[in-house]
Amino acid sequence: MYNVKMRVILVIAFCIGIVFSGRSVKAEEFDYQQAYKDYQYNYSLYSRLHDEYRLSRARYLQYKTLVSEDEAKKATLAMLEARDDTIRTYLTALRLRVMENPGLSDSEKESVFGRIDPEVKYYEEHKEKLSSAGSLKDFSKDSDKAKEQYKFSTENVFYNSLVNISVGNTAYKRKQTEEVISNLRSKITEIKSAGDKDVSVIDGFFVEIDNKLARSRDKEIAAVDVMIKSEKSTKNKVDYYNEAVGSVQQSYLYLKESVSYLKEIVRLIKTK
Amino acid sequence: MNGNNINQQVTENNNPVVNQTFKTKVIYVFQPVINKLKSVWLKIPERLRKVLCIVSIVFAVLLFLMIILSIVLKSRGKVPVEVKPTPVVSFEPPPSGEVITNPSRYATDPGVLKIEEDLRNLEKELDSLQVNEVNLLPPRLDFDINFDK
Repeated sequence: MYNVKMRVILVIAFCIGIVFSGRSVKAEEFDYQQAYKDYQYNYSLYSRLHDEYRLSRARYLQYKTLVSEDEAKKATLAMLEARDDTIRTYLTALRLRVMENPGLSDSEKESVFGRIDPEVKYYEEHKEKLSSAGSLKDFSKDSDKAKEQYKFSTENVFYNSLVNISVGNTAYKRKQTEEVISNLRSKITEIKSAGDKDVSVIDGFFVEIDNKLARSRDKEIAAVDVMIKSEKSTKNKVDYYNEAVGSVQQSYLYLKESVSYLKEIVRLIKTK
Repeated sequence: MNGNNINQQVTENNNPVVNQTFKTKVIYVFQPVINKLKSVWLKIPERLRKVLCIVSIVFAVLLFLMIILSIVLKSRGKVPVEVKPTPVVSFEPPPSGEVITNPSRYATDPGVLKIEEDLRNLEKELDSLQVNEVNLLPPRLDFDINFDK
């Protein structure tokens, strides 16, 4: 009897364990919001450690003692590690933003991931090597390596990903607009076949809408082209990014205009 | 001095006379009723009379307590007051935001209304769309790490 009771208790405990373990797995799902919080935490930590680095650097340059050098080494190591973590978590946040973007195709997403993932790996490895530095000069050299990587690769990946996210946002809305257009065209065909309403004027509106959507698409392509151009250039990346985002903004305005035309068509259908 | 005494006597004697007449009048009016009630009361068996006395005393005590309780509640302001909201008259515009004065037979068509609803939602989403990710701009990082003056 005692054994039976024990078995029942064990089975119940096992079931409860399974239920709670399932919940904990679900709670640990890593999405964009989580990644963004992670990045924010690392960035604020970096800012604090950077202040400490500047302070210890100033002390070292003033006193040049062994103690101040030791303190400067510790502060520089902590700051450089935090800098690598900030870049890594920022890249992860970008990756998840791209992943959750419904406007980008799988191949477009894979293309972005193919650029983000090696960067993440680079900063992970860079961070691992930092602790082996023996002097302040070594830290300087390690930092310069990261600087080169950032300037010629990472920064491009940052802005390229951001432009892709923006393009994905408008592309998704255009897709939704095209669905509405398709439904509206079917309805107009139905009205035409019923022959109880003159809808000939509406065809002209559709020509305009198609033109607007084509222009919207062109502006998105132009934004991507700007980013390709920026990677070959040594000029400031922010300027290129702003130009690309401006192009996406124009794409968005064309979308809004096409929606206005669609509303006008609906108004015409509803009026005698 | 004598005059004062006379006045006092007059005033002292006046009131009892008035009271007496009022009392006699009251007795005159209620005496038959009292007599009748007395006779009825005496006719009731003594045990029942006792029971009636007890019941009436209990009833009086309860009534007294209820009066006290209502006074206390009123003074504390705990008497619940039913609050009725002021009726609000709202005039909602038509969903499309425009009034069609000469509607066609498609003005109430479910397919057309569905498209109109989809368009309205799409327009709302477009209005709230953030083209560039302002919250996700790259961090400002210091790459000039050196220990030269």
